[in-house]
Amino acid sequence: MDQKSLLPEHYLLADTAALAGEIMLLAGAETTRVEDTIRRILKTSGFERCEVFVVTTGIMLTLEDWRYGTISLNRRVEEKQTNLGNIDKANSISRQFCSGQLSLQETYHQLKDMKPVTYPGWLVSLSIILTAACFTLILKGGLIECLTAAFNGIYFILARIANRKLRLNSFVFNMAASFLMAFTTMLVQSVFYPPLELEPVIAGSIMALLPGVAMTNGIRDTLEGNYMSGSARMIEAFVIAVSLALGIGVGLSACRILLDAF
Amino acid sequence: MLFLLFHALGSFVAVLTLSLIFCVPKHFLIYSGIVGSIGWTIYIGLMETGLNEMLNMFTAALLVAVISHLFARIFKAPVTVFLIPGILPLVPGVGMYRIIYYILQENSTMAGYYFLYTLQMAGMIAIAIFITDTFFKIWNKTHQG
Repeated sequence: MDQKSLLPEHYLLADTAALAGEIMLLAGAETTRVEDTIRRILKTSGFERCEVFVVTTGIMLTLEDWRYGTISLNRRVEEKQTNLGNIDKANSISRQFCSGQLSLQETYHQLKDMKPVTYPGWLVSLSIILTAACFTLILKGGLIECLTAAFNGIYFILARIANRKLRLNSFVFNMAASFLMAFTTMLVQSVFYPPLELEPVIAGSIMALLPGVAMTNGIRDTLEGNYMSGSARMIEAFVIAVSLALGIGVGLSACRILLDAF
Repeated sequence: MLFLLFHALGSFVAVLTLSLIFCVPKHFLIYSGIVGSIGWTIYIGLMETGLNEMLNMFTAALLVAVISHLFARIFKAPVTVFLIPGILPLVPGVGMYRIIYYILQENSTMAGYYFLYTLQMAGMIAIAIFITDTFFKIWNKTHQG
């Protein structure tokens, strides 16, 4: 038996793999992709067994070889924020590592010091407003409808800021934002401009809040045979949809009750 | 024709700004806008012809998924970068609004109808993504080495 001890590089490799996975999972990547990336990185070690298990809330990985020993890591992942740019970055860094263009040290430091893909706050706010207005436009809304939807975009911006500060469940913020959107739209219709069409305004305003990420990832994970994460994402999508629906419903009826009272 | 151009431009700007909210990298912004714009324009165009609504949704979603996969291959980026913003205009937000609207009207027949409609639309998107994923997986297996 030529038993050797584990080398610092092995620990670094496991750490790098976990780090890459963590970045991608945080940014909202499908679990299948995260598992695949981690497995590819671990495979470069040449260990007998490289096991990785990822669910939507955490990462577990193990490097196992009778000649060296076992390394096992666990990472709990919280506070997800969709950032497709970060997925792309972490993906391309690990790709470069696996194809031998980057050394282990370089990969680790690049991942560790990776600047998240962000846009300036005013640009994001402008985009939220433009998204709402443009979706209202293509859902057959007129000028007044678009302006109302653009105003509704402000609630989404506020909800995002509140979410970053308070870090509660996004369920609360989705509901609050859609409540205010429905309330305002109804108010505009009944007080200022009666011919206003509710449907394009509300549907356009909530477009950016819709569970597109959860739905797409849920479908792809489920069809990869990853039922645990897939069903978790599907439920997430459903919960977001329900929270939006609740917000809209309560907003519309609250406004109606309020107007009837006066 | 002008009608379609209007929708193409409108959805292009909408999806472009939406991708910006999702922090899509700068050099891919235009492409995710194009993916979303194609999907929505095809959907609207087909709706004008009066064909089956579900078939229209399926065709549009299939096109979005295929183009996303192609772009992912060309630019060596994860598929989700294009797929998530591209598919979002097709997500049945209007159907969801109508469910709530009819529930508030206490019209359970219409609410039930739109509930089913929304589920069917989401199902069509799922099938389209599934078929494309499977196709490209087979493609990968047969074209390696």
